[in-house]
Amino acid sequence: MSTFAVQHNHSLNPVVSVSCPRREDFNTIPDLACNPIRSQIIEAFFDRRNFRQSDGAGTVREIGFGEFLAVMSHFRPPSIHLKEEQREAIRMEKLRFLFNMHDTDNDGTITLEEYRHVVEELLSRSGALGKETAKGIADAAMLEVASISMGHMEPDEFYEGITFEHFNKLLKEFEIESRMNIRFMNMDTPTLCK
Amino acid sequence: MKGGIGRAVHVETAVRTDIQPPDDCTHCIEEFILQPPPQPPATSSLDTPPQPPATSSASSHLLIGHTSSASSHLLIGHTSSASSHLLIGHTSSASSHLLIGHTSSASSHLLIGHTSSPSSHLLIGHTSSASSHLLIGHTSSPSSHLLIGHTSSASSHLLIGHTSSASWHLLIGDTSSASSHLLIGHTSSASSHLLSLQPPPHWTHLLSLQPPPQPPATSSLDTPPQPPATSSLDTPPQPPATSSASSHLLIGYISSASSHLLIGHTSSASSHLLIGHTSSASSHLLIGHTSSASSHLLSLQPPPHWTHLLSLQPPPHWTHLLSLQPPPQPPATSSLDTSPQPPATSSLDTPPQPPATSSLDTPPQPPATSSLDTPPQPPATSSASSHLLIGHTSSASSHLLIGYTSSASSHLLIRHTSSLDTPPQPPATSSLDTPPQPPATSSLDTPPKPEVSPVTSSCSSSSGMAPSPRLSHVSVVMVVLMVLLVVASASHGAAAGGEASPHGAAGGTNVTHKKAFPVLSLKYDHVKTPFEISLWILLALLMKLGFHVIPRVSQVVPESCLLIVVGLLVGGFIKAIGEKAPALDDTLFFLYLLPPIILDAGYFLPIRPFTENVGTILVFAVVGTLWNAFFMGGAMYAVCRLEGGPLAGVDLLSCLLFGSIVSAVDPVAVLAVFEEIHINELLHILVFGESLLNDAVTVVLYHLFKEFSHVGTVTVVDALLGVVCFFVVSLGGVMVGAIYGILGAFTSRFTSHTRVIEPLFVFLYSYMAYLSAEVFHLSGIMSLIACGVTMRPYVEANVSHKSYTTIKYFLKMWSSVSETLIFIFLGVSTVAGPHAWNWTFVVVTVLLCLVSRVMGVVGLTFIINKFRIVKLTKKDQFIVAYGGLRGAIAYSLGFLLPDHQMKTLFLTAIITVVFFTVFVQGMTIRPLVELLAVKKKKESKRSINEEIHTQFLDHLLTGIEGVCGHYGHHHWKDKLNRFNKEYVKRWLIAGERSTEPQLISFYNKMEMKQAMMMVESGSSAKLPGLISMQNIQPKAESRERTIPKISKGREEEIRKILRANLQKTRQRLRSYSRHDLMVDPLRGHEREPQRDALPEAAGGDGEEGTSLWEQRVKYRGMSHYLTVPANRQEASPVRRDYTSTESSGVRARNVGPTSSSSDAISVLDESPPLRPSRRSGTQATDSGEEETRDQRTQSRRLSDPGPK
Repeated sequence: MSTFAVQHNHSLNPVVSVSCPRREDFNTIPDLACNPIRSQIIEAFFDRRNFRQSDGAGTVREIGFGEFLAVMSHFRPPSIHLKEEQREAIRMEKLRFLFNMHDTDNDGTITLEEYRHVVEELLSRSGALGKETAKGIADAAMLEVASISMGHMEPDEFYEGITFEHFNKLLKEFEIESRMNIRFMNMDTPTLCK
Repeated sequence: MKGGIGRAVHVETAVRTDIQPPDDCTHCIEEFILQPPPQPPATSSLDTPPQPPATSSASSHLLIGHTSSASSHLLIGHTSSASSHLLIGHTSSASSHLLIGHTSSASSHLLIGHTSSPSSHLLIGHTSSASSHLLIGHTSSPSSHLLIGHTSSASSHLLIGHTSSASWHLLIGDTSSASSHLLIGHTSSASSHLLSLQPPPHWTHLLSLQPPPQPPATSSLDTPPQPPATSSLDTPPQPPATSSASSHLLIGYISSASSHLLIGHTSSASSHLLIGHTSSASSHLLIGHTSSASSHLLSLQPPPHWTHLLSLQPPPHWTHLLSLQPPPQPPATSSLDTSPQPPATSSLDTPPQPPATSSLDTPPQPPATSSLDTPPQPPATSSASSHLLIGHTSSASSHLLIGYTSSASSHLLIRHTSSLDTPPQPPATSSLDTPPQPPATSSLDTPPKPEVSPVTSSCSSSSGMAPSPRLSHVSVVMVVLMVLLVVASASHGAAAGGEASPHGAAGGTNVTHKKAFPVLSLKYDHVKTPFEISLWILLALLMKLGFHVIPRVSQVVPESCLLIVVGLLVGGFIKAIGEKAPALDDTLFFLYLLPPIILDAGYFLPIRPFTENVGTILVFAVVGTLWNAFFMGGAMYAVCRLEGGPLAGVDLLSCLLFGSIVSAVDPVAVLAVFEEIHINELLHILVFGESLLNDAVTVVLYHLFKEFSHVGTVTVVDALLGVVCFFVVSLGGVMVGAIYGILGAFTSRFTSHTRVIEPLFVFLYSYMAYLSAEVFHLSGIMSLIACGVTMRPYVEANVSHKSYTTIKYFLKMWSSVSETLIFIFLGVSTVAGPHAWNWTFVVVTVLLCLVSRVMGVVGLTFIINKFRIVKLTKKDQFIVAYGGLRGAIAYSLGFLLPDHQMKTLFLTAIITVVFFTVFVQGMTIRPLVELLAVKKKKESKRSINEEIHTQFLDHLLTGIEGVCGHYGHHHWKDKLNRFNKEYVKRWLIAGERSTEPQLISFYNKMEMKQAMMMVESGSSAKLPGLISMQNIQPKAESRERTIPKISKGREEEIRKILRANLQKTRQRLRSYSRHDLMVDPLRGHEREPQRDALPEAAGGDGEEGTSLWEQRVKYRGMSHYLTVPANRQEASPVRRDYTSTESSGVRARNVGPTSSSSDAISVLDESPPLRPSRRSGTQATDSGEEETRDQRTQSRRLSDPGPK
């Protein structure tokens, strides 16, 4: 772990150079400056739900190296020799991470409001045009989710928001387990993060 | 000509179409030098009186000549044995198509010449042996297409020269034999296509290059000393100007032309047009004395031809002839014409020389060809077996034959000697030409004809038609003949006919020369090429169509297999009827058929999977192909060593060359098969990407080994250069492509005013990229792909939606046509081509292909997997290995190999491998994929949610990489994207779209599609979505329900607004909603006034609702369009009125999605208490009508989403 920290973080950015980084430290990372979803990424590091030994919801003010690695571990690539269940578990874990990023109030559903926020953030770098369209896109996406997950709905029924099952269903074809990965040089990340 | 042994051979192949003209020329020269001396005797002996026996035996189509044995199509000549198509000549044996000549043996298509043995297509000449297409010449042995010349051996397409052997396309020379496309010369034989078309260049060639040198040559030939030579054949001395031309255009004297146009004396032409004396022409048009014409278009195209002769070409030609050649030639010809040589061509025309052609008819000419026609030779043992023959002492063997002293056995034959001319042939000829032939030509040519210039001038005059009686005579005769022979080809018309009339009944021909205006004329030659191309494409497409009509066939057998089978059948059929099947030649393939397929592949290359796997693909493409090539090459060499026998001669470099050809996976075959099995994206891109990128390796290896096997040795430096070359070829190709791509993108920025031509830019720039890369031997395929990939995002942002569709469809169409043609041609050329089947070699090749592929893939995957995040499983490896199909590229490369003893062996093996992979692997891969349960491609289109998450994930991963300070591949991708967005797009994309984020453009595109779908389906009712915006709108916003009351004036206002807004189709398309799209704008804008009306409407009650409901029901019947969408929407609010306030979620339904744009939603959000869809009864009715109308216009507009 320490190797990892030293190699990849210590000298390069301020987050790990301090022992217990806070949000402000993350905000100073230059590489995040241009990222449209910067705030969400940073939030993810301080979200309790993303820590392994998750004890409830909410956020923390500062994280230790363990927490940092716990969050990072969501991005480790799956190994080739995985059974189907393991693969599924990894997939769920990664999906859950994403879901948590969207579900800011931790009520188990991504509401339209939250989804709109996500899209707005995504388009936040593209000026007024993006802002305008973001709602339309989010609405369209929400409609899509509703029609995928609910099938037929009576006019007076109301779709609360995207639950995790729906989210899973929605991204079934997405192959997130093979996409949400980061290659950490030649480090064998799984062993590091255990 | 034979006699002109030591003579310099002037074979100017200036206009050569071939790649290696120099080689041919040198060949010619060498051969000439070698053969001429010894041969004169031989041939001459044949042609001399003793030979008059005219012992000719023709077994096939046409035989004209003495003592000739022809076994195939046309034979004209003395003592010749021709076995194939056309033979014109003396003492020649021709076995193939055309033979004109003396003492020649030609075995193939055209042979014109003396003492020659040609075996192929055209042979015109003396003592020559030509084995291929055209042979004209003496004592020459050519083995291929056209040979015209003395003592020359030419083996390929065109031969014109003295004592020369030329083997390629164009040969022009004196006493030479020309057998193909263009032949112009004295005592020359011209036989090919474009005398008429390209005269200017040709003539210039003739003048500048050949004439000077030739005069001597010709003169030497024609001069007394040479009489023996070819001249011996035709004239007593040899004035015979024994030239034989076998192809399209021939202008000259003593020339033999076998093809299209021939103008000259003493010439033998075998093809299209022949005008001249003492000539033997075997092809299309022949006009002249003592000439033999044997081909197609005497009757059909005279008008155009003549006009050509007269108006178009004569000027350049003649000027050339006159200015350039005459001076030098006079000596030559004059020498001929002089007393000793009266015979020459000039001799024919001049009084003293009436001999020329006339010489044939005259007593003094007994020998040679003339000997045939002359009294002693009255035997005039010329036998013409095909269409038209016109000429004296001429032998023509093809379509049209007009001549005296000729015997024609086929369609039309007019003999002077026999019918027209009668025994006293001179009279016959004289009748036509008049005894004082000199007058004829002389009148035309001017008195001082002794020179060659007269001849040429006569030709020119003939071309000029009007002035030349002789030509006119000939033309008259021809016309008559044509009229007689070619049924509908009476279109002799204006020029020829008009000219003919003054001459009255052309000699003995008892046919009317004046022909009525042709009501119906035939001109097939004119359209032949495009006609045949269209026919091929049509055949291909019909076949393709057929496979999909027949049920289940396409399920089992891949289309590519079926097409190859069709190709085989067609090839077999073509062969059965004795035609020459077209081969899949490399020019056709690499320049026309391949680019569309590659462009289609490159333009629609799935960028994301490609870039994500580019490492793996490159390893497979480069290392894998190298491995395959060397392994195959080495193993094949070992096998050849062990096997010995016929394989012992295969050296290592040849094996490596073979390996490099056969090792490359073929994109065309891969595409054809993989498109049908719908395999998952990863595997598809791995195999397909490899097949695309290995092009660079293949190109380099191929050229390298080809070079090496030529040189024979390899040094380390060579190998290093090879490596460098690889980088140059691949990176250079990519760079060329990228440059053109950027140019294309930039151009498309400015096309907003000329939308129609937009698509063309894409195609042209891409094609230019391909060609430019090919110019430098760079990888054209990589260039094309780079171009497509670079261009696409920008072009798509710039062009209109219609153009986009056009591009897509054209690419798909072209690639599909190309692919179909490629497979069919593969089948056809398999039948057509020569084969050398060697069990060991073939079987070992196939096995090694499989083994090396499997070893390569497994070995490389082992290494690659260490670096991949998503590992390749065993199944994946199997499919990658098994999907390595070979195809037409390998075949074409094999076809390109230099002629070599091993070429056919290699080609056969390559074809076998191709067939094996396409048939066996291609057919079994689908069941295997299913058996192994390999993941298939997902059917559904990408959803908006996935797009959002793709983007989200990209940013997330980039962010995480940033957080841990690791500059990975996401980091760089992000950088690149940002650079692209900030700089490149600004330059390459016009207008606002340059700043549009990807997500938004995706969304817009999707909406557009949705809208189109809706319009196409007529209404939204058929769409599956059953959930509308109301279902997802948060409840909180919908507490109140109000029924707005609207005054008359307000209604008016609303209507106005509605009308105005309905015009804005585009905005409407913005909103995303399945149901409400049509009515959206109404709703959105309706709300505005409603809000104002809110206060008064606050007290709305149930009664209103009821009446409203009734109204709705009423107007539902009025408009079909409206009912479905409107009904659904209106119904619920009404019901809501009755039921409860809780269902207020419904309220929003009409709002969000229906709004013309997202601002509608915002409006909603800001003012939750709005009640949108309430309308008074009148309004409902009115707007109902209005809606109907507007919707119609709208749907019209939608279905035709014009340029954006």
